[in-house]
Amino acid sequence: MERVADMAEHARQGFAEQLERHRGIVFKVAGTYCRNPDDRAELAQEIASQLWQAYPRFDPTRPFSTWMYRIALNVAISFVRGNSQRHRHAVPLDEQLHDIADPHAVDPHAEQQVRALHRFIHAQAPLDRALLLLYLEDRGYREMSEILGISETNVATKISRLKQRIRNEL
Amino acid sequence: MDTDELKAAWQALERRMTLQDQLSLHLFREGRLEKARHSLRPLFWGQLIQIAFGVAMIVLGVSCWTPHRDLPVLLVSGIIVHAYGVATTALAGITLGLISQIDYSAPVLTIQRHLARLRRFYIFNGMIAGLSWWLLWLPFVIALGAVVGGNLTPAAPGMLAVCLAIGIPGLIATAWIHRRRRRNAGSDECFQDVLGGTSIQRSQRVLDELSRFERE
Repeated sequence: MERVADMAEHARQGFAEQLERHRGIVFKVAGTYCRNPDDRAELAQEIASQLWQAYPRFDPTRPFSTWMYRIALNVAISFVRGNSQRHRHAVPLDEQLHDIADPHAVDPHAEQQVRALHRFIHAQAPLDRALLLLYLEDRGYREMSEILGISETNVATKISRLKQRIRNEL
Repeated sequence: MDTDELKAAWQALERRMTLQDQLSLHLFREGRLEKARHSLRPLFWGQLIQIAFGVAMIVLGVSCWTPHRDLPVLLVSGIIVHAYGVATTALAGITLGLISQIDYSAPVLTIQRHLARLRRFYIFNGMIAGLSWWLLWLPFVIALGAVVGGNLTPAAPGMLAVCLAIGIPGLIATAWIHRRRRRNAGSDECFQDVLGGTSIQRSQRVLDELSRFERE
């Protein structure tokens, strides 16, 4: 009985360390899918809980970040789809920009670009947003294909279209 | 915006998001990991209740038709109730099977497609289990009467006429509302999800979106 408790504690510790090391993924996915801080915190919590539940099935020979991206994106997309039907913390986009705005920005041009990127991210459909996030995070085509479940060729085509869209819209 | 500017903008945005979310970190450290929202838990329990209900209907149907094989009204009523019980149990079992196959660590497209199919199947399940009561109440009442000792067979022809007079217009009206909802999806908030019309459309839209994403 004591051994089982030790193993559970060991697993929990291992998970906490991994989560701490890769916590940026959770925040970035939550930030990409939710504009409102309350929604973001709720989504981050939901992602962490689902990661913990899936952790016993994690294959340690595979990269933790790929596994984490899959879960985080799946949870975020489902969260956004589920929430779009209910009353969420609906705040106009312009008002939301206050949330990411830097009042001490020294370079107005750079500040404008940050805002434009923020707007662009949130204008994308959930699946395109996942691709955009992975592209911005410099993930390789192979990893993107493993996370999304499409072929590498398909990823390459989509990325090239995405770059074109970025050039046109930003 | 060129690639370097884009990456710089992303890094700035990322820093700001991380800074804001430092507060959320305490959630991970306070033993709240088990508190997942479990959005599918009510669905899971709902299906277990449906299985229990289906089994009760099977018991009722079998108890009605097995001792009365010589009485066509009771035989037919019992078999209809029995068949309904089997159908609702099977549909709930399949829904539970679909829920159990959800593994968020699978690729995004696989899981999102699975969730959309689960949603569509669940709505279909609900429609079969619910709409059949427009006509099912008659065999149910007759079967229940036969089991508890009241013989409703002599009144059956009159009850059948009432059942058909109510049930068929009811089903037609339901189908009409359903079609109307599908046509005007989104325009009428208070009828959202009536009969699953908009839900089916929504799940279909998600499936279409996934196929498009994969194809394009």
